[in-house]
Amino acid sequence: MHFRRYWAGMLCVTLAGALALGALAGCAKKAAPAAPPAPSKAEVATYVNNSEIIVFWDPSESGSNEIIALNNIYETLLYYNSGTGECDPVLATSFQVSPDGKTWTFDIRKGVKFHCGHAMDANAVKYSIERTKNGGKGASWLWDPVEAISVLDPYKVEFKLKFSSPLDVALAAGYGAHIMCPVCTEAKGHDYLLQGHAFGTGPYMIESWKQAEQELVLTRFPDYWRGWQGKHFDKVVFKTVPEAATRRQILEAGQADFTEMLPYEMVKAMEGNPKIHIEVTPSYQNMLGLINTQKGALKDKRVRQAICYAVPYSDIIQHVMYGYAEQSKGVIPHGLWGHDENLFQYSLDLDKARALLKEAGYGNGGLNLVMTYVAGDENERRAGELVKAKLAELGINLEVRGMPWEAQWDLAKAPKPEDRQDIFVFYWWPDNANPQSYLSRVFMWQEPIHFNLSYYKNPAFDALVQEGIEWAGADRARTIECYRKAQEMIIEDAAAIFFFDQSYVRPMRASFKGFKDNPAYPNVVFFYNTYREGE
Amino acid sequence: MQRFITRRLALTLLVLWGTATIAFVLARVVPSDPAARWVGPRATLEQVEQARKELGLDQPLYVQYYRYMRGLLRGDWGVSIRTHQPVIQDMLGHLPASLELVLASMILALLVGIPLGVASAIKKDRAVDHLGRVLSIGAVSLPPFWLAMILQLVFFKWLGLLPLGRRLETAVRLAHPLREITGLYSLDALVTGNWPVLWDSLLHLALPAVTLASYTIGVVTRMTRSSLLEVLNEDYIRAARSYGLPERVVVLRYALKNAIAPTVTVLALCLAYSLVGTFVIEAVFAWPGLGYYMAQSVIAVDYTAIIGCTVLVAAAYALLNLGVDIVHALLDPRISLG
Amino acid sequence: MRRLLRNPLTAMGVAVVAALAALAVLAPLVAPYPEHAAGAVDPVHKLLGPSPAHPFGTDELGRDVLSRVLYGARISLAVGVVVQGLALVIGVPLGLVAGYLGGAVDEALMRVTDVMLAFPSLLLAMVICAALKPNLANATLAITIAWWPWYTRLARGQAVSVRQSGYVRAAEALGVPAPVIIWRHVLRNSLAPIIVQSSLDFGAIVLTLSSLSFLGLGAQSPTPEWGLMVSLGRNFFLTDWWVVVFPGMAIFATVLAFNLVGDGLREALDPRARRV
Repeated sequence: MHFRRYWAGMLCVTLAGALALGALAGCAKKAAPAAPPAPSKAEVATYVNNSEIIVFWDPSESGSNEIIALNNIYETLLYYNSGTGECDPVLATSFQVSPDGKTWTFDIRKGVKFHCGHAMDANAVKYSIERTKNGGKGASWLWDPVEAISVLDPYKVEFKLKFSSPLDVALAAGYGAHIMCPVCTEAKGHDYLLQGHAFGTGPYMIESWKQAEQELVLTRFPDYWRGWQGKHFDKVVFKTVPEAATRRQILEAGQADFTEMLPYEMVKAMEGNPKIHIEVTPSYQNMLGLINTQKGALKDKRVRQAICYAVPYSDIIQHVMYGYAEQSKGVIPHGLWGHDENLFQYSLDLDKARALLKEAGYGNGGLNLVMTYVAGDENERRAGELVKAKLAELGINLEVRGMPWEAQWDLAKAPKPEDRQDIFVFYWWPDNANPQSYLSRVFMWQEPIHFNLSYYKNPAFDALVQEGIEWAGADRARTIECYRKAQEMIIEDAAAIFFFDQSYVRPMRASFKGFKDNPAYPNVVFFYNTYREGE
Repeated sequence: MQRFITRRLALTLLVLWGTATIAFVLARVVPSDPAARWVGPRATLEQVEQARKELGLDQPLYVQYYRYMRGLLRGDWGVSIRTHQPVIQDMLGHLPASLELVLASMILALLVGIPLGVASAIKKDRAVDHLGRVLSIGAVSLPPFWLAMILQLVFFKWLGLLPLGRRLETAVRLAHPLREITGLYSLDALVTGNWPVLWDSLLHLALPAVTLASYTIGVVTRMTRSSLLEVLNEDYIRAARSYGLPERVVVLRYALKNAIAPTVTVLALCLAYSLVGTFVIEAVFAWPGLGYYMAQSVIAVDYTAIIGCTVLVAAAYALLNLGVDIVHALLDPRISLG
Repeated sequence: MRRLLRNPLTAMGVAVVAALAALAVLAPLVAPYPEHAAGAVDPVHKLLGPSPAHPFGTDELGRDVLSRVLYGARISLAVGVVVQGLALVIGVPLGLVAGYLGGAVDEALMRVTDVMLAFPSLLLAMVICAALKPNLANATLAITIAWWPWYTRLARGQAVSVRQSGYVRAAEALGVPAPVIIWRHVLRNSLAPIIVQSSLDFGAIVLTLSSLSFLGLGAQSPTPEWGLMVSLGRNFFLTDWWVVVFPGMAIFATVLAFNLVGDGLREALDPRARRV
């Protein structure tokens, strides 16, 4: 009897708890749509990223994800317009270049203020570029060709170069080229910047920064030189959500305007949602499988060609990339100057692969190869597993090994080529709108090896690329011709599997307007140009 | 007594030193170059070399070990390779989120586990007891990461009741700025009377807390049951019964009070266990706590952060154990002091 | 044994364990697409929901989830057996010797286990896996390293209590050599709790392995390890739930079955034991 009362009590407590939870949940459902009432009608844009928002706060050291936010806080002299292939004026109003391509003069915009209130002038330009160059960190190598910078008058600055080089493109780079206030940067110092401060000229300035949660809130800079007429956002929020499912949920619930790096399965699932717009733009990013040209059977060009013939390119593009990619033609991607539509393309042809292997003495296969990729990258993993299945048909056993980037990198640098991987899968993209790095940093011989992880050594190739680099500032047509011949060599030598040129797939709210993808500024949203319409 | 506590303290120090050393050795044999990570994937060779010098990685391992241990004692736990922030600062930034989660799961475990345990004990070998047994064994058998995803499927996808992850909606935070005191959002919101944030934070807390609590619920239920059974067989309970005291009074006032001590002990150990449990759970819920930080650090082979987290968690574990032992020794002089 | 099976829950646990073992052994015969556990792919049929052709659906590369779950049983059980075996072989003799001999050996060994046990086992395994190359073999090694001290502790405790018993004293007085005493008396009397603990731990080992794989520190694709399968499905489980639900269910069922058996064994063999 007493037990019963005890139990009744317990039961009541439990039931009450359950009811309360249920009630809570019920309210939650009702409360949810009413939850985001804009605070006093301030328009807030939210960008949700999959990894850290900010690694390097100091623009002189920047070279990572922070370009997304920093390009809204800082500005550069020029902006690379991917539509026209020209550099448009930003903090510089115009520029002149000497016929030998070695002297560049820039007119600096007047009436521009930094967030701290100081005026931006030629001195600030000289200071910022020299600070980055001398710091030797991040993208400081952009300024390797620069011999000297001189201030001709408060609004005119001159760059002297060691050799002809497209300096306009470098000054438009997404990182390493930002102009910062010399007075405040000097006075407050590097450590102050690291705590989440910035002295830029950009349209937005920092309101708050939460390191642990990676949440950055920017707010309008009232004195921005372009002014605030027309429609703009008042605040911009950047935050990190590594879980793709959560990013999608936030976007669909209207709590974010823009996200990236969603798995393609999810993108496909969102295509029918009228509230979501998916912007697809060809990027400059391509996926390469660098083949170790100095190891065992792979020293034989025919074996490497056989591998290139055993890659199911269309399956990868259709089923791994869900059509958001295009098979590469050579190493310079579609849409970047220097790309050539007439280059040879390998296709899946197992008979040809078998014939080549037989010729090379591996008719029965019997090879064990290791392909490394960055652990966690699903596109690389799935592509690798599709290749593995095809190579198995040729009697080649491919181990598809996901590794942390550093470990993948270290294995590639093992002292003996035999100890290194056979195929190194990674992405390449240019640091500015210049195709040079696809050839020079990935395939030119380096001592010691840096990014040439095919260990490709071909003096004729190196000479062609070098010639191309030296003419890039003065005669671009000649450079393009050099790059075409150079690409023919690496394709013939099958120094790499040229998988695909990737498209940027940007899911965003349909009401989020004004965004234009620019592959020269990967993943960057210039929020000043965006606004909300509808919803 | 004093000897016991001194000895136990010495042992804890040994354990702390041992864990720091093991963590250092393990994290530093990683076949990976922290300097390369430090400067980022697109850096030049010179930049990597320079970083190696700056980070002291060009020194022999024993020098690095000495420096690291010295730093640990001085509160300088190194700089994270991934975030470029001092590890201590990073960990302190992530700690409140984990504490909030762990505390919520503990409260949940007590609220569910003790009644369930009591029920099982009183109705031994009856349906309730069997059910309790299945539930408690089931709870400790659930893979937490999977439970997390199942809860997300049910409560987010199918029922649409609860959010998928994170601690607060940004819109709510911007509309109702929260004055942070402890960093435990729900507590801070409660103290400052910020009801919209309190509500939102509880909604976000619900699924991760239930996931984390499942193991503890199982343990608490079993412990309560077995210790209550033992106590119910004691003479004084029989005496109480024979005096005709109502069974409810006997169980709740006399037996449970004496049976609760082992449960509290086991709860302290579960607390330590939960700190590790957060490693797999926080990742799924994008809950920015220590476990989330650790998981990200492991993936990024961020060795300073890995050592830091390992030492911190092992220290918490060792100190909780120490606390339990000392309290036990104080309460129960029969415990052998060897 | 009969007493063990009288409890319906324990009997159920035993049945599930037996079924799992059978399925693991017979996987090549039972699995509809054995090749999908070994690296073959079928991208055209990717992410299909459960159907008669694929009762558990297909994954992101078109592989049959049922076949992979069946093969996964082999991995989980094999790793469980190896870890358990190694941990027993390393841990128990050390514990028996330490407990029987006592003195400096005992002291040193116990302090080592103190330090090891101060690490939560998942954390220790995580750090070891992160240090070594993450793969199945290293995960097995890491779990073993995290596990043996428990058995050393347990065996030592038993040895200490048995050592003081009358018959061991008598044997010593008769001049029976220490190894013989340890083998014949100490081990035999410690067996019951060790068996109970092993059966309880088996589930925990399976769980630890899947957690490591889930975090990317254990088995690597295309190995059909359950935790890894759940992890790889994270990106799309809200729409394609079967990729995550079935492998996770397999982990749950396995761990639950072993825990039920262990719990039953404990009540049957060692009713006083109170460890949860």
